[in-house]
Formats: sequence, C-alpha cells, structure tokens
Amino acid sequence: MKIGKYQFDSREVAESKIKALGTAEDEDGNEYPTHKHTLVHLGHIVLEAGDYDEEGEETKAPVLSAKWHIDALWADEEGHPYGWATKSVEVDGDGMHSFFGLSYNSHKI
Amino acid sequence: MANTLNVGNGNWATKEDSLLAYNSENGNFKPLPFDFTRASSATVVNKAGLIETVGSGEPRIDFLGNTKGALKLEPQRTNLITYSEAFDNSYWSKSGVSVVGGFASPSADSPLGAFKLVATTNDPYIYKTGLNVTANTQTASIYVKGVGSSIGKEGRFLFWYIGTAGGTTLSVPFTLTSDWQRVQGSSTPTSGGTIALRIDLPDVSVVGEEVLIYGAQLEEGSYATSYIPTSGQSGGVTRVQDTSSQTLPSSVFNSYPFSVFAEVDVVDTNTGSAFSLLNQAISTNYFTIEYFSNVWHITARPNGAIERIASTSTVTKGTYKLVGVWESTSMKLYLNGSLIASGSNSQSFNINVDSLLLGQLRISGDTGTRNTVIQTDLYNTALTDAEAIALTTI
Repeated sequence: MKIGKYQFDSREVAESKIKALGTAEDEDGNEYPTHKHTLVHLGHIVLEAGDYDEEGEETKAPVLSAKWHIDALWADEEGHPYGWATKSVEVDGDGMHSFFGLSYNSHKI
Repeated sequence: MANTLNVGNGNWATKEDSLLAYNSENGNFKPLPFDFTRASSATVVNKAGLIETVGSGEPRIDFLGNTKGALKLEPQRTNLITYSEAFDNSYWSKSGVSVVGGFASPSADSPLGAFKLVATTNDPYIYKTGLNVTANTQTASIYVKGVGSSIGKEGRFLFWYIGTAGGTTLSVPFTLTSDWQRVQGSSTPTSGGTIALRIDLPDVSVVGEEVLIYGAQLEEGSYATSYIPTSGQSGGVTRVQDTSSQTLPSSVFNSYPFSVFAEVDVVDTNTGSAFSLLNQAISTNYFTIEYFSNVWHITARPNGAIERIASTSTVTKGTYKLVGVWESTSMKLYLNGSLIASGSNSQSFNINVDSLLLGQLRISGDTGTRNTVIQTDLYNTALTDAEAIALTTI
C-alpha cells in the first residue's frame, strides 16, 4: 500500500477523479465505490489559523487553501492512478493528516 | 444438521491478515481461514477492558461488554481532534478549570495518560473552536470518570455553533460514574464550516471538584467508532476500514439448500448486513440478511435479479441472533427465536457466489456499515424450524 497527497482545483474535480477509480450502483440506485482504496477529503485546508475570543467567537478568519486537498491510501497501486500524478504534492513529515500507524515517508508513492 | 463452517463464538484465532474458521463435520476439525484486511492500525478493548492499539492487518477481537470477544469490523473514520489526549495543550481552551496530567487511564498504550480537571469556578469546561466539519452528522466522544463528589453529577457535550457552520447549538447530557465510560453525542450541521466543541465537566460544579478525562474524538458519522489517537495532526488521523472474507471451497458451499446463523452487534441502524455470500467479481450477485428502512430482510440475488422478503422486526442498536434458510423455491428468516419472514425464491443458484463476508455486504473502499461479529456458522442443509428457533433463541 502507498500513501499519496494531492491537491485539486476544486472539490468537483477531485470527486470526478475519485469516481473514475470505479463505481457501481446498488439495488436502490445509490452509487458505491468498487475500488478498495481509502480516500480522505481534507478540503480547503487551513494555511493560517484563525483567532477566537474568550467566548469562542471568531475574531480573525483562518486563511484557507484555494485548492481541494485529498489524502489517499492506495490498496494495490505502486504508482499514481491515471490522472492523479500531476495533482500530487509532497510534504514534510506526515503533513497535517495521517493514516493511523502509517508513516508517510515509509509509504510515500 | 451438517455444519460446514464455524467462526467465532469465543473460539478466536487470529494472525496478521488472517482469521481462523473451521469445518467440524464428523468431528474432524479442518481449518478454513478468512482473509482479513485493514491497511492501518486501530484500537480495540482487550480482555482486561483496556484500549489497546493493534497493527495493520491484525484482526481485532473486542471484549467491550462481551466476555467471549467479538470480531470488530468498522468503516473508515477520521478523528478530527488534533490533540486527542493532550488536554494540557493550548489547543484546548479552558474556562473555570485547571488541568493536571499523569493519572491512570483506560488505555494499555498510555497507562498514565488521563488528565484530571479541577474546577476553579462552578462552571468548568474545556472547549475547542474552529473545528472544520461538513453538513453531515458529527459524533463527539470522550472517556470520563467521576471522582468523589462529581460522581452522579451531570456533564454535557455542547455542539457550539459559534463558527461558520450552520446549525443550532445542541447540549447532550451524560451522568458521571465512578467507572470509566465513553460518552458520546451527535449533531448535524445545516451547512458545513467551523464549529466549537465544548465539554462541561460537571455542568454545575463546586470549586475543587474533580473529573478524569481521556481520549477525545470527533468524527463524521452517526455513532462513535473505536478510539483513534491523535497527536498534532490538524487534519486528523484516519483509521482504515476492516474487511474479512473467505472464498469457500466447493465442498463447503455449492448449491441449495443452505442456512447461515449469524450473531451480530448492530451499531448503525441505517443500513447494514449480518453477512453476505458474494460473487466478488460481480458485486450485484449475492445472498444476504440485511436491514434498511428500519426492518430486517432476507435476500437472494445470485444472478442480479433481486428477490427480497421484508420482516416487520424493527432494527435498533444491539445484539441479534439470525438464521437465514435458502432453498431452491423458498427463503426463511429467523430472529431471536422466531420466524419473522418467509416466502418464495425463484433465483437459480450461481456457483460464482462463493465468498463469505462477515458483517458486511461488499468489499470496497467505502465508509459503509460493518457490524461486529460474535459468531457466524454455515450449514449445507435447510435447518428445520425447530433447529433455527433453538439457534436464535436468546
């Protein structure tokens, strides 16, 4: 298994790439994935934390990434799936998200 | 009745990537190992009642409320709390409370990992603002234990909508006891954004009153799954889904009639399966006992066309003993000592439906339900009414 970190221009683009990994429809018409990968939507990640007062009210909004971020744990892939390589990013350490017990550096795609 | 496969019922043998079942026909025990996959670590409650981390690919036998143990199978989940154990970290804001570390916890991994909250006013609480959530249901959980006069008092979760997410602030109360307990509450934002999570311990206190805490978790979903520790990951830590399946030898499963006994612990009442017999190449070909729309169903779909009989038995959280009997022209479903559904089956058998999946319908990278499995047995006969009722009687 390999870990990849990706950023897409929008959520819609990310979801279309995920859908292309394989889906089917269940008996009620609901879509489900047919692949065995684990995909985590980190979304518009926080680049700079916001500030909050003693009541918890936001006094300064966080600065968010304009990109939509995804972490992937690829079940049976040694390389990026088609269309994912150009969206790949590298981070120091594990970055802001990790898979429980798995080091990014040891499993980096 | 010819019992061709047994798994569980307190007889657990596991190793990395494998779970042992056996065939006990004629008193000869032949191994029938299940494949097991989970690509990440995970936690489980061990025989001593303590939380313990197990590595990737290691099946989890969970002893929470069950002395015989049960195979814990869960969907993918992410703990969105950045510091789930370091309550002295500035990540957690404090009001009217001091925080002291180094106390006995419910974890074998971190025996002195609990923190004591000591009230400095009569309204002590800790909270975290700026938690990013979607508009789907969010569930918060934490281990708590009362000390002295706080035992018997009420604490609460507050889903505090003071960020950018839409929703109405929700208070979820719980009662502190002298034992460690995992308390949880859920809230569904009307729109995604940031919320604050506040934990009042106790809700109304006196100066000097004490409470122990450990292991906070916030996850997307309608119920709390096993604890996922975090230690500084601002985007959270993800536990990957579990799957346990076996391609059955034709000597074990190859035609009608057949019966399956399953004892499962239902945790998500929305939709799920006790087990499935599946064609792994075509995931719309299967036999299963499943629930949705609040009731149990028995289903035959070995070639794609679906034949399904609904019961009127409502599904709530808890343990169920089920037997499904499939014959060439009929199906029957038994639950907790009663026949709850029966009808015709016009589906021809498909020898490619040859995989047994425990506690779930399909193998895929989804976040769908997996139920905890206490026991699953496969028979190559149609169990009689008396046998099925005896097996499922609680």
